[in-house]
Amino acid sequence: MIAKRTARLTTLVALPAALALAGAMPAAAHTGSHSGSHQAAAENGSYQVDLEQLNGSGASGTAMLTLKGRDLNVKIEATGLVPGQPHAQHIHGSTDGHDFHCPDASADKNSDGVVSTAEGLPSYGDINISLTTKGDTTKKSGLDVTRMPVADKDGKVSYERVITVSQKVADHIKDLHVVQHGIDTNGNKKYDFNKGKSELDPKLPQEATAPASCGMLAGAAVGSMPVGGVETGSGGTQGVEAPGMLAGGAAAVLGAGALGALAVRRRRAADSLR
Amino acid sequence: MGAPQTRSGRRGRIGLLAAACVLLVVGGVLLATGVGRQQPAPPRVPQAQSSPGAGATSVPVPPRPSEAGGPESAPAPPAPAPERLVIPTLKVSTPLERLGLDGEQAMETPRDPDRAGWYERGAAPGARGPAVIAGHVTWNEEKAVFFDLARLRTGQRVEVERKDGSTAVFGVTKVAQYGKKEFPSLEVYGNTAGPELRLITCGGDFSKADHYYSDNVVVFGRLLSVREG
Repeated sequence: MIAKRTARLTTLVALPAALALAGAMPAAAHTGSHSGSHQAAAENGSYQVDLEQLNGSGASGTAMLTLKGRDLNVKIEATGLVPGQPHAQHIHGSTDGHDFHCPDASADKNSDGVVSTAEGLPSYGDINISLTTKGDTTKKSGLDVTRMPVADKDGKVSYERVITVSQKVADHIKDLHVVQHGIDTNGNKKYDFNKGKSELDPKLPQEATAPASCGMLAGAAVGSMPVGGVETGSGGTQGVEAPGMLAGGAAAVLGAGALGALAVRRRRAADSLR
Repeated sequence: MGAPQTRSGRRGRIGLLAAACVLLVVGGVLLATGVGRQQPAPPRVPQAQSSPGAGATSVPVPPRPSEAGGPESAPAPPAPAPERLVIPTLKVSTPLERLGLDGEQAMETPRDPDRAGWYERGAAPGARGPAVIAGHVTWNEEKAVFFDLARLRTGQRVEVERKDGSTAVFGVTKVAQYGKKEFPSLEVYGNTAGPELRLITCGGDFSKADHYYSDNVVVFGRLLSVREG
């Protein structure tokens, strides 16, 4: 009986201790990773990607990837894409030190004039992050065109999202690259099966998944790109300044008028009494 | 019966008139001061120039420096730190504060509304890339250092005096106004082939309720020459 109670007591004491330890462990690990990897901390900042056309798509653009800790802000402005169509976009590459890069025309193994996504994979590596507009960003969302940005009527895509990435991605961000997909080889303003089915998803045309542009990460002169506009205005000079002063002044003048009128009325009243 | 009442009536009237005079004087002074404090709204970027791309590279700005240095080539040597911004046509001459990022990763703004600030995490004026300088347009209902920024025109000069005594001279290539929600971060902050300059302030409509300007005015410039000190 006593032994049992002691055991229970021990458990009661041990539990918080264990919790405290568990709490302390990640903290310790955190500190460790900090002191152990100045390199990782130095990865914070912005990287620019100049997207250049693949497959004669005519697409181009700029992406800016800004890393702070494990928060990756991805901003993309691209033009020359197929208007009104969704464009799958990903961060490709390896975080294990493999040197992947954007493919050139020589990657077109079956010589059909199109470097398909499968033909590009040996060059640019597998999907690491799916740049979806919402929800999941893993590889499995790579072809979910319902969550990919749609080009406007001029073939422009503007995309911005903050994604929490793994420490591995944060540490190897410079080894990765951005690929946008979706081309229109027969110029009919839509994706169709003129180049066959996608080897990734037979329900999708090759045109929908073939890469349109690719770009590798390079340093950004801006160092770390600020988010949004700049708040360089406080207290505008537009409209009425010092409204209290104006209102007070006006009230005082009106009050003076009222008092004056009152005085005159009293005087009239006094006169009429006389 | 009449006399005392008249006397008190007269005294009352005099009191009222005196009070009226005091109020009139006080009111007049308040109104005059208040009216004196009225400031015009900051100038706006004319429509023709404000559309992105318009007004770029028209007047005496020489062609882009050679793009020989691609992204692969070695980075240009760092330029000396900037100390003072001079915009002769706007009669602006301001020492430069240093700006970083705030907790929301937005750019800090100068602490002193009469000074502009250089975004020190970015390029220095004269180094390759966009050197970014921001300043307030207004502060507590007073004009601030960049009040007239939207009056700058393509081809006008902007000078940055640097720590080593040299002066980087930029030519304005574009003056544009953007809604803050559509701020073209990549155009403003993206890599450039040569040394460029960005001057940023607020513009558009000011909302008194949330102390917020709807737009940013951005002046784009390109390095013309460096004058040794």
